[in-house]
Amino acid sequence: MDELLFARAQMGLSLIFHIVFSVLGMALPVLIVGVEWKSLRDPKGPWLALARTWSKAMAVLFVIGAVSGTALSMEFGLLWPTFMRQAGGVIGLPFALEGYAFFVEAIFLGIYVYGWDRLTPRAHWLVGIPIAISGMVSGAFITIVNAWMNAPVGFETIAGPNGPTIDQSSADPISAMLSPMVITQVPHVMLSALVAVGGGVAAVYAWAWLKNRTSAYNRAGMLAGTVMFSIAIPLQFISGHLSTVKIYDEQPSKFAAAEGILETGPNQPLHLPFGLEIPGLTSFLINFDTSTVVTGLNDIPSTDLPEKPELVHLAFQLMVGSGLLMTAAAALFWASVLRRRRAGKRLELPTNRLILWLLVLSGPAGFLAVETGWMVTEYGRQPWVIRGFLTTADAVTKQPGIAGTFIAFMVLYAALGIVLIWVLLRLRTEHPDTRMGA
Amino acid sequence: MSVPLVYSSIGDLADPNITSLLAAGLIIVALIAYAVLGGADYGGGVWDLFARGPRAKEQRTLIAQAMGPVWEANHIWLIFAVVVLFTCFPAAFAVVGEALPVPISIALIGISLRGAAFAFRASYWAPSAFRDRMGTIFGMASLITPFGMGAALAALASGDITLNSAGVVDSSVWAGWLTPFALGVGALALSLVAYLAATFLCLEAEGKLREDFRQRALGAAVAVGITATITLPLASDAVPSLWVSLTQGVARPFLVIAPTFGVASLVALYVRQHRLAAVAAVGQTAAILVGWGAASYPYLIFPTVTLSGAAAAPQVQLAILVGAGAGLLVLVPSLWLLFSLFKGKMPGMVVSPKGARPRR
Ligand code: HDD
Ligand code: HEM
Ligand code: HEM
Repeated sequence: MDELLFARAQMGLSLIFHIVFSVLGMALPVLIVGVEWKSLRDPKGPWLALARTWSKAMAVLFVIGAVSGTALSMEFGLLWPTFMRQAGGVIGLPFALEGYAFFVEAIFLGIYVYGWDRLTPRAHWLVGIPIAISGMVSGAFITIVNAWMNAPVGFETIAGPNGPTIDQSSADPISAMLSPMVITQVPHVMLSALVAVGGGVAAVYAWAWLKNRTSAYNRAGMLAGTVMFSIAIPLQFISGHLSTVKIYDEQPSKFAAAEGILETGPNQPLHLPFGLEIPGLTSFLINFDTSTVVTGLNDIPSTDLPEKPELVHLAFQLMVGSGLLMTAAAALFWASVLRRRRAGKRLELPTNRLILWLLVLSGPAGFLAVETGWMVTEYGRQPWVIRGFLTTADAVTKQPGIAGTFIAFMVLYAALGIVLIWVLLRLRTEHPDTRMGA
Repeated sequence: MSVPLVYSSIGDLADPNITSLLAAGLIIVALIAYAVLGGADYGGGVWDLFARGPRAKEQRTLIAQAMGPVWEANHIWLIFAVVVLFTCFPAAFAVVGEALPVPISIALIGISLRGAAFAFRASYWAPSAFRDRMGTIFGMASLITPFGMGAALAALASGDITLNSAGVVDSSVWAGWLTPFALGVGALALSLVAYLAATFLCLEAEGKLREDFRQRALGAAVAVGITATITLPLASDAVPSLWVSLTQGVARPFLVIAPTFGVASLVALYVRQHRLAAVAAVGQTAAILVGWGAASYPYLIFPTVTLSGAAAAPQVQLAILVGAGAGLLVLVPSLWLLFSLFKGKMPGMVVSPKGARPRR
């Protein structure tokens, strides 16, 4: 592997690692605020115990998110110094604003986690709200940066030896935050966090249920997670669809790669796995007209194409497929709840093993969709890092030795990941709160 | 294929404009906050590692209690400084990344291990043997990180970092940070954070425990004194430009102010005026950083990158400054709430221990 590949591998690895905690940092506080609110109204129920256990997990998760995020912010300079030269001035503002969101999040998290016996129940619940808001806001700010990389705006160009480049003196940091991709990417990312974390939490308690640990506590955990992802997932489909239409307009190379369109033309089918296809549907979905012409990979200039467009397609299908699986889980879950309700039982949760298994699978599925979705975005933009202005190869550092830091960080993340999972599993099985109500 | 730089010259010696000066000031303020607050947390790690004597366990507990609620927020000051640097002086950030990958990676691994190990150790539901091991990692990482950061900072002033005509670093990744001077600055940074931590812990401790930390603070003060006396003379040789402006230029007052604060803090500690000692220690840290900044002016990286040469467009810096000002409206009350809850007398309005849930 050459230095560029090591740099891409290190960045990719760091992002894949960090994004797990970003997603948790965005949506877990939402869920915790929700269950703590329930605990105020139903103090005898299992909600308080849930909120307390989750807040312990959140404290540990937040730390891993914070340290991996710190590494990322430095890696911009370590791995992509020329990206910083070109982009730092133009798109730095959302990074700086994100810094404030992190401050608010860290401050209130400290109060929340250490304040259980210092604050009144109501004050404690209120402290959770800024955590949830600032988590979501930081996710929005970083996505604004990513949207700019996909469709850069907010500067004038000047001639350079390899085509137009960014004129630093013309940088307009406010307009740069309004890339056309923002409107679709930001909601899609926020929803993806709610979907993935809701699914993950539901999976933990559905698993307990499958193992016959049918306590009120586990029931409440399963319900809370399922409610969150069930609300978010239909919106996620609408939002994903709008994203797709947007990349058709803005990033034809990514669209062709994601949808697997080989030849330019109208009446493009929707490609499904195993070579199946639905005739005309891709063209139709863009603007309800099967005659819509889509640029295929054959007409995309090679300077705009990732090495392996089929990987983008695969990632896209995995994202959508995971979403469909979770939709099935949510639909069957609520259908079963409704049926039992008709039969006169008040909000009885399903005990059907198929539904429980689907919920268990929804845990990994949500996170898989997040990772593969970012694959579509990031790998689908190659070979550009700032689309149309700076290639990844030009952005990479000229210093030797990236193989060394790559290996060091890989070992570090593997170790952190393993220890973290072990600590969290201990929390689930050993903590007295977990057994409460059992 | 190389990308043209759209900066006239990153070593431009023209006077920096007002937004560059303010942005540089903002970075210094963030660095002071990080050195004082974050630094004390690293120092906490050092004293955790060296917890000794009959009260070793209590010492560790106090450190964990003191850091627990606040260290995350303290850590963000670093991220904030980095972000303002790369937005307002993007070319300087790029050069730092190219020139110092080794010490920065070491510091990053240290930051990651320290944070993670502290959180894992605080996971009281995990077995105690595991938590003890995490405590050791936490302490070791707390030693490495300030040392690496100090050495990296010294490298920026060394003059060993050189650029080619396109403004890209062409010196070795080992340049500048392995000199005796840089290692001396690393040691100074380490002893300073240990001193800060011990003086702050005196404020939180009582009785014999307080006496433990008082003794540790006195020890650290000696270490600060020794490292400073060894390192400073090396400066005349290793970083002549810095040395000249420290001894003859604008930064001259700080060569007096910083040690004065240091001595004042030591005396206050000796006569057990713990609050005064802590305040003076903060003053000393701030004076060192402001003095360093003043002595480096107008360079960010000597002698190749200047404030005006690396500056982003003025409207970008202005946007950051306005954003930073607006952000303070949220940040200051939030920080006040955090510190008054865990570091001071409890404000009665939010807290009513009677109404709070019983401890479990
Ligand atoms: C739970 C997670 C999840 C689910 C179920 C989906 N997505 Fe997604 N998707 C993401 C999580 C995600 C993401 C991780 O959040 C991405 C990566 C970058 C981004 O902006 O959002 C993303 C990116 C992303 C992009 C690339 C945007 C760009 O590069 O600018 C497209 C076109 C879609 N998604 C479309 C969809 C469609 C059509 C979906 C289903 C029908 C879908 N996503 C379900
Ligand atoms: C290359 C890109 C990224 C950089 C430089 C970056 C930077 C950071 C930093 C420095 C932190 C730590 C702040 C703290 O201490 O709380 C952090 C945490 C966080 N990041 Fe990222 N990040 C990146 C990618 C992402 C992405 C893609 C997302 C979201 C979609 C995201 C969302 C978050 C969130 C929500 C947190 C808070 C973490 C938590 O609560 O656990 N980041 N990030
Ligand atoms: C509530 C309404 C809608 C839902 C639930 C929905 C759902 C979906 C889903 C699940 C996909 C992904 C299919 C796949 O790629 O495997 C998709 C893609 C797409 N949708 Fe929609 N959609 C809706 C409305 C629309 C509308 C109104 C349009 C057109 C204006 C549209 C245009 C598209 C396009 C162009 C794609 C990409 C085609 C493709 O994925 O191959 N959709 N939508």
